[in-house]
Amino acid sequence: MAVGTEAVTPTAKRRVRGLPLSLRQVATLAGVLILVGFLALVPTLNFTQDNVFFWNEILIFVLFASSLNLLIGYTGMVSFGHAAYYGAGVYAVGVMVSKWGQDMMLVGLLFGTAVGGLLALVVGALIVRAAGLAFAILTLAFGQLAFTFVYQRNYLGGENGLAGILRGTIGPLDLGPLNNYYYFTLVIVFIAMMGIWLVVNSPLGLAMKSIREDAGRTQFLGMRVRLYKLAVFTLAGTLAGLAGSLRAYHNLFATPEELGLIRSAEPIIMSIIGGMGTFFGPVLGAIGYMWLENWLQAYTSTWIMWIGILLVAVILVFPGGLLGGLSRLRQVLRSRRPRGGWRLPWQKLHSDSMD
Amino acid sequence: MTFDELVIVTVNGISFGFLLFLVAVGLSLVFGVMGILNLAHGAFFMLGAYLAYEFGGAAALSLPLFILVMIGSGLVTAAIAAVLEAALFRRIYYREHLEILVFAFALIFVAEGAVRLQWGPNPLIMSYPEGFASSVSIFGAPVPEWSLLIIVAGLVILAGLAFLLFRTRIGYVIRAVAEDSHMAGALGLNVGLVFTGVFALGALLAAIGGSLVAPTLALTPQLGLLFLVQAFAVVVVGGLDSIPGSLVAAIILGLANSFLVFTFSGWAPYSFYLGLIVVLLLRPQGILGSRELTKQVG
Amino acid sequence: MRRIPALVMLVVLVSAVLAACGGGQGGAPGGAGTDEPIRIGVLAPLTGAQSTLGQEEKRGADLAAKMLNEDGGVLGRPIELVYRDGQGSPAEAVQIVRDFANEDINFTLGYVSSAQCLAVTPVAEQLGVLVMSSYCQTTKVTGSEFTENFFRATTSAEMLTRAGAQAIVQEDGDIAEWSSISPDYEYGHITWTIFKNQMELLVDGFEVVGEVWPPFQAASFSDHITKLNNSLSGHDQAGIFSSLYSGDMINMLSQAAPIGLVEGHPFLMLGTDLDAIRPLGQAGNVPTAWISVAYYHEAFDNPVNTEFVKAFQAEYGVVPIGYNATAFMSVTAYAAAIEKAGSTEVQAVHDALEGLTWQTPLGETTIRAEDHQAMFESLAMFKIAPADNEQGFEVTDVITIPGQDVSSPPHPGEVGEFSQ
Repeated sequence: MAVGTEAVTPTAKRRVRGLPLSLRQVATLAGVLILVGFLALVPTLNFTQDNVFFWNEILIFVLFASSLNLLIGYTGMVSFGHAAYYGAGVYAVGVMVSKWGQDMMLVGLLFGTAVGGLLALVVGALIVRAAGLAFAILTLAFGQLAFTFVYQRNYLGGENGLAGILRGTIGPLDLGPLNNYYYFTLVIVFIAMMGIWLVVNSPLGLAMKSIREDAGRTQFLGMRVRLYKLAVFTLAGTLAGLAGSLRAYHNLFATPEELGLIRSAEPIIMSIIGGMGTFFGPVLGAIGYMWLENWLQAYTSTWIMWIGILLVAVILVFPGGLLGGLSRLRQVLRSRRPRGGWRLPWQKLHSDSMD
Repeated sequence: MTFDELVIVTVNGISFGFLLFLVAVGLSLVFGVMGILNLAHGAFFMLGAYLAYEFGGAAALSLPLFILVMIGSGLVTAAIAAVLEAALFRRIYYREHLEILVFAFALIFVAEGAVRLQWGPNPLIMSYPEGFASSVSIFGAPVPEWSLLIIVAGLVILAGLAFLLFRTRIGYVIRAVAEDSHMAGALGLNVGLVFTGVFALGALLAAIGGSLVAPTLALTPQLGLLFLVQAFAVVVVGGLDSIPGSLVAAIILGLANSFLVFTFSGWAPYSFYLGLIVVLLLRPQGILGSRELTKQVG
Repeated sequence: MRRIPALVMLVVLVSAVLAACGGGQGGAPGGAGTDEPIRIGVLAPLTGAQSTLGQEEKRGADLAAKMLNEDGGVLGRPIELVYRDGQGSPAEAVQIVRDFANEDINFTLGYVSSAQCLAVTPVAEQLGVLVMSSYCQTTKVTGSEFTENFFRATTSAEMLTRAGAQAIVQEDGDIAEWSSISPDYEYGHITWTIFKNQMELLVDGFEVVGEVWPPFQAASFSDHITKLNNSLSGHDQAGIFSSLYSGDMINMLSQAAPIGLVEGHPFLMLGTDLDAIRPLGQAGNVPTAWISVAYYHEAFDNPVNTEFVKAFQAEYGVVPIGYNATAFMSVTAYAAAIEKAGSTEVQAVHDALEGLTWQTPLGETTIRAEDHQAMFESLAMFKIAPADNEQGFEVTDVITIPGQDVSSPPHPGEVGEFSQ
């Protein structure tokens, strides 16, 4: 179990001698430092094909998956159409650069982010009144609507999408070279992840978890659940829009597949593999999934089947994904029955599903 | 729009609606009894179509033989589904909806790979059964005989399900479990067996749907996803737990689609999604459904 | 009773599935030689909706490499093809082109959709990788979106559409009334535009009597079919044009067969090859139609084609189709250019490709220096009809259309007049 969930285990309270931090906080900090350090060194390493481009894509998916995790993992709002807001970011940049000739990259990034957020605000305002499965299906419908729209509009390039996006400069930074853009992405994603961290550990984060656990009671406590939900939905859409804008400048084109069903499923799969509802789950999940997909594709034309089998196995055997598995392993090693049985906090038992 | 066109639109819409109903009815049955939205339905649909091809081949069969092939494909698919339910699905019923949905979705991926290994990536297609390869004229509109057969099949399945659920002891048990599985279990009914049976029955219906479209749709490993969103729309609009609701919704959506193709054809691809959105926002339990989806999960 | 652990169940089920399916398939690209091989990257849709094409592409390219290597290779070095699965996705294609560049593979071919071509060309330019498109037909890549590193060893949508129009008028008479059932996205609209422009030139009183636009991967075409059928009533002689392809074409024709939509009407299928016709033949739903894919194995009487067909039959037991020939030509174009350049240096090969003339199954072919589009002596158009034989159809007419009749002058950087 990673930091970011509400769990406060006895271990978490143990302090490291001489430091105002708990053991777990120290371990987490060390993990983050190692990960970021490694990511910063990627352009100088040469252990995989075209590592900079590949890792840049991973960074973007880390942000995309984490934005969805805010919705699903922390607030319990299942979205099957998150690619719509991501794709809105991609296409906003595409239209701005290739149609309006605006080549200020900072403007593009802000515009893409804003369009993602605005779309989420509008859609969210309509649908946050629904909950559970109804909400999930509504997000799916809006996602498919957006995909169809992009596919059909000639202005947006139809099935060919929009090409001709170029990276430019931001102030003194020349982001044309891939390495420079990689560091830029790393910084932006890092800042965005810090923002997510702050949100999930803020009063808003508490409200989100409270809504996830029981929206009805949260409402009775006097919190305006719909308003909170709308805020989270918009925030997630904004961050997805940012990821999409980064993606547009990464791939240098925009195509309808960025809004497709598979693109909506990918961050869910990543989060499930890594550990939904934990801060680091989607991070590890995105890295793991991208590696695995890349590796499988090189060896077999039925890679999609192996992804399916992996997912089935994770859900059956390692609910909670990599991080959930780790935390359970730790508890088993301490020969203690995991708190709350074998379920993780976010896997609330809902007996009403069968009545 | 002329009268001729109106007739064509209506007939087309209804026959497309029945096709959608055939694809979706199993989804609705499983949800009604078990409360899970089984996306693996798409995998069973595809498997059913491929198995029909495996048993029947590409050449034209006589109608009785085709029906036999269809039933064979349905039974094999149902057997596979029963094993999956007993071995895997029942371990995750208590989980969050997301996990159940993704779990079932992952099975579509697995089915895609398995079908690819078994039958290869090239498209396959079956023949219309002998004597069903042409069309008849209804008020001047040419309607494929196959479409009429699909309407008949839809009605037969509807009647069969009604008979099973309301006139037999098995149906009595199923309805008891659907009403309250805990209470049914406490009263000594074998809930697990009912779940397995209903899940298998849903797969059988999916496979029959798959067999019936095999003469009109190229079989490819991606078939599992092709109809899924439409089937989804049909059951949600109709009311997830209502089988007649699915039929009504399928016909309404089919008619809307046909009408749009003939009038504002640019809007036709959006019709299903718009239908979903409107219904879920205004009447979350669907046209004939009784359970509000919002109450399904806390 | 103890419950069987989920993991065990899962393992058992997975192995059962695999055992039933006969195990996985591997398949690393072959081709080793004593001398250091010349590596060519092939980006093929090995999975996904277009994997049929990918399979045919691989056969054609493999055969070309095999034949070249048996003849002693290129510059004394063997050709090695490195396959990557592009899945028909533009994003995958960009990633793969980068992988190729990183592995020092600077010659690439394949690419299945216009979207893929448009997505990779800027990247390829930046990385110094040559892109030889075998399948994407959009006129944009040689026109308004032209880039230096893009070459097309195959026909463009414009050539195919115009040649198809010419063939059907030449053989079936001056058909003035036309209708279309084509996909509702750019490819469908642009091909119909080109077709109309060409028909205006060919027949007097050209008139459109109906057009319907089914969406991409529609499950049911029935509304579009009846709508088109409706608008054809009273126009018994009107022709039907369709640029639906692959699965969509199979589905449309299967669903149209019962009401006889195309029966009795001249029918032109653009870009659909025999791969889609074969399953239709099995089910007895092949229409009488003209097929425009530029290649038919009996249409060309030249030594390269004779050898190609013979070798193909020996290798795979069937006759080659257009998809095979295109991949074959793309490989031999690189081989010819490398021979001509005398080196594998990218700029030298690029320069050699500009204006390259080499022998292909379609006869002598030249890549135009201005827009990098291959020009053909002639394109083969053929007509199929249902038949009472094993495959359910026969080829009833084959003609060739001179390439120069259906090609526009080069217009790099601009939209061609035929596409407007």
